[in-house]
Amino acid sequence: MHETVWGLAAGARLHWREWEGEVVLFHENSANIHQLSPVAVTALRLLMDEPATNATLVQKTASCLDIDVDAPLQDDIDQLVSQLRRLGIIQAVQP
Amino acid sequence: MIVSDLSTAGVSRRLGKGQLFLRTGPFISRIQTSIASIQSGIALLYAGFPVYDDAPFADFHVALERPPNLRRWFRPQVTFKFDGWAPFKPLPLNQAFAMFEWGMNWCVVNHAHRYLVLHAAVVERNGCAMIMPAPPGSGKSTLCAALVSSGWRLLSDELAVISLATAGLVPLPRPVGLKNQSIHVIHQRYPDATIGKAAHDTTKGTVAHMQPPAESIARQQEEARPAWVLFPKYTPGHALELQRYSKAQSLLKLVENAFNFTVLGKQAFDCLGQVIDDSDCFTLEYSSLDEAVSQLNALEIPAPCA
Repeated sequence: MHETVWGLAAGARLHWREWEGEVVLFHENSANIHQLSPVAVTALRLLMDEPATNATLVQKTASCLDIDVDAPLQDDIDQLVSQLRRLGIIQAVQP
Repeated sequence: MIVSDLSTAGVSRRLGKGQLFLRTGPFISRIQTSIASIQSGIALLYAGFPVYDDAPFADFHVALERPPNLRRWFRPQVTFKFDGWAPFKPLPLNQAFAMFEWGMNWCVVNHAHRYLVLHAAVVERNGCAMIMPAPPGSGKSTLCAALVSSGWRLLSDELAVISLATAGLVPLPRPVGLKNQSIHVIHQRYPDATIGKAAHDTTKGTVAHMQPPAESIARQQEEARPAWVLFPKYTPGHALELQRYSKAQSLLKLVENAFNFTVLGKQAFDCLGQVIDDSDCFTLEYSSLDEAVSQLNALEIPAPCA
């Protein structure tokens, strides 16, 4: 069974503001705003560049942030992907 | 011509006929009422505001009336109407002036979508504006009244009106709403302040309004640049504490306090982003108005506004 590959939702319009390392995301389609953790910012930007599975996203995020791949990071990414999907920011895409 | 150029009878006559066009900030309101407490309240608290006998255009057409039923005699009431439509249930007649003020806020919040409108007080000094969003009970209006009685310019006590084009603060200097103990506090500290008749037993307790300073009215067409975003909180017995606050969190709180963020979408996000870019953000917990005013007078002006 294939793992789901996630990519930016079709037509999603995202805008960012950053102050002192803190990032706020505006999802224009829903007019909702969200404050993102460094892990969430990195993972979402990676998904905007290229679709990925959860496992790939964990690896790439760890590499970008120069941190270890461990259980807490995997949990963070799993929760993030679930939230972003629920918010309509990402969707499953063809591999 | 300003309201005080007219006699009290002249104000009442124009209001009775619906021929009083009042300018507050960028808005012109055509007001009609025969209710004496509103007529005298406007004559007193809007004394310095420009007024016209006629105007080619009015942003808001409002009327305050006594319902034409038994309520004229039994526990009399007042109804607020906008374009002939009553958006609220009637209130007791003794709350008529407060209802006028709340109704005028409603007009701006629901119709002025060429601006971003926040629930916040705004004051200014040296061209730099301080935006103070805060929930009810936080002492926002009391602090606002103390600041404008201490030399700051009043832009608004209740509604921060922000230009989408410039991210500047547009003045809307209407009377400052005071509640409960604040009425006594401001009256004691600033005996020269003109405070209207109190309305008791409203949903907010006892409410009275303070006349805006003349200079704030004279400069009501003069925008100010955002310089500070301040989240005040009055806590009895608490030592003064001013702390820097995260800009990202400040943006989220401004959005929470925006009435028309979802209407304006990206324009509003860009506008608030610019406000936060240009502002230093703080929380202020206080129990002494003197200490709070003194602390805010000493704030450095951030570079974008200097």
